[in-house]
Amino acid sequence: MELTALNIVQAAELLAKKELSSTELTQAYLDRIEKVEPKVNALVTTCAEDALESARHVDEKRAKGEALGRLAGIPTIIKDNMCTKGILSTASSKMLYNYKPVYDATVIEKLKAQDYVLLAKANMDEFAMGSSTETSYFGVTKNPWDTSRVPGGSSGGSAACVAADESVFSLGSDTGGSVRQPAAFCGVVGLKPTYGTVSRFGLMAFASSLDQIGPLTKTVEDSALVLDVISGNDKKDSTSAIMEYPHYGEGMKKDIKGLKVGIPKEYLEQEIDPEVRQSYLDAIKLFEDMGAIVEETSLPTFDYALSAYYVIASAEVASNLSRFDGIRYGYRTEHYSDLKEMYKNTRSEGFGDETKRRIMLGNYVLSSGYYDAYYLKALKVKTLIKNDFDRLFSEYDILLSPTAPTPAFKIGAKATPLEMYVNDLFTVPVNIAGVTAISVPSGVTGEGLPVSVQMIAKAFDENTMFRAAWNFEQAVKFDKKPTL
Amino acid sequence: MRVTLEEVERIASLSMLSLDEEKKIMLRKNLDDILGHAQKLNELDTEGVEPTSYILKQQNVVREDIPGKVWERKDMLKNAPEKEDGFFTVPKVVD
Repeated sequence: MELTALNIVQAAELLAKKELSSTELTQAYLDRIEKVEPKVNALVTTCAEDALESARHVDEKRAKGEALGRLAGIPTIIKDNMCTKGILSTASSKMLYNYKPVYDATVIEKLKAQDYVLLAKANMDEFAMGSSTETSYFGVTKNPWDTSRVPGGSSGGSAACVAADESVFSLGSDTGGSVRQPAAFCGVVGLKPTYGTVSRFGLMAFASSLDQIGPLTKTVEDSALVLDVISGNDKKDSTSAIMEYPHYGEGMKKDIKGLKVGIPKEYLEQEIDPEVRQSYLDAIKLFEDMGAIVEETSLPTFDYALSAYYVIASAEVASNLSRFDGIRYGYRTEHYSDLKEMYKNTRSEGFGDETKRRIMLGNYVLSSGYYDAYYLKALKVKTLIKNDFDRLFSEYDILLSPTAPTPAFKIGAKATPLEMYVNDLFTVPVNIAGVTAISVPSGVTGEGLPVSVQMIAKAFDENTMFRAAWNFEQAVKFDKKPTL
Repeated sequence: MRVTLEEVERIASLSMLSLDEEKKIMLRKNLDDILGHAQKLNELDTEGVEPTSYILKQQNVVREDIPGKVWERKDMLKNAPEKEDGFFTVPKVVD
């Protein structure tokens, strides 16, 4: 087995037994990055020297018999909207093309405490707005399974780098599906934790009421392990959940006999690619075969989630991105004669088209005369969607859906914003309701493209979901890999 | 037509963005399409429904008022496009 094909559990075992050094493992990934990155463009910044230094440090500690963290020596890639001290963090925007944070995001501090190795920062849609990574200032990331196709988005670089064996795992962020949809397009496991489970401190805010950080991994077990490391209450994030955090992954390997699985009929009424539909139907059958109790149910507000999402997320982004003014950090225009012109030119030159579109949409729905009709209406619909999920989770342990309505599409194929937004159909309601979901590969199409299903559980019930996902993963035996 | 070009100009000004004619026309159409899609929300009766801003029940989380680490001025200025004598510099705002 190639070193770069290892998952976290496997790599950690070889490292612990000293059959492999962190330096060897890190070097293997750096070599792999050098080889495949020209084809994939999953990364914005590679930190080769720092990575090798961290790896050597772990090797030294291990040689001396010192205590090591749970991710000791594990090469990791981080989405470029998370602050890494002293290392470029651009959100794939011209606005932050030169930004080197002077602090670490809380998730980075937590990974450092477990002795991880930071390999690189991953490409993404600008400020996480997009479903294809085509809005990046640093060029589109290619899908490792077919480089004429997109990797999904916005965490497209984070998904592509794991699929292409450029990293053992990565972190992404998910506001309306930005971890799960690219995970599905690239054939890896993607997790959106319950809102409030992972601190957002140091994550560049897109839509603060919806954003969550989540891992992209090769296995469900790795996903639970990473969540266990990065979760927890953080005083620096006032939306961080105050509770007893469970040990994530506990009980994951128990069977799912009697698990109650709901299939909202609205899912099958959508326009879904025939092969995605078939894979979804096969997944439902597999759950029945494993002893789960599968029933049809209904999520009447499903059809409204996407509209509510684009109103709410755009309103929040218009507010959050008003901080970019060319004064304290990032890009500043060279063309101005007064302050207002400096603001306007900085923002007009620094933001890409999709970002401008969402800022405009957000300020429109927040402006006087439209606030009640759009923004307040969307927040009320959010209540109805949440009530719908609450009702379903009083009857079911998990809901099962396709992750995305199609496999990865061609670069440049989505001509209008609405065509692009429809990609988030199945993922968006999860963020609106603040619950948790995981995307797990379910098969490949005739053209050799991966497809996935999504398991959704109630807020803070990740462990039931991990159990369903782990059992599904074992049963479906997805073992295909892209060739690059 | 829901969104007019004049509205696009007004919103651009509120957003601190300057748009050329081509972008204004494109954005007018985009906003019109997206807001057209959002009309769907009106199919739902939300009479008497409370809006939900944040999904978690906890509110107004506050910390103890204890002096903590303060950022170093030199660190805060590291990313500034222009600075002078320990300050951010901006174009003259008062005549």
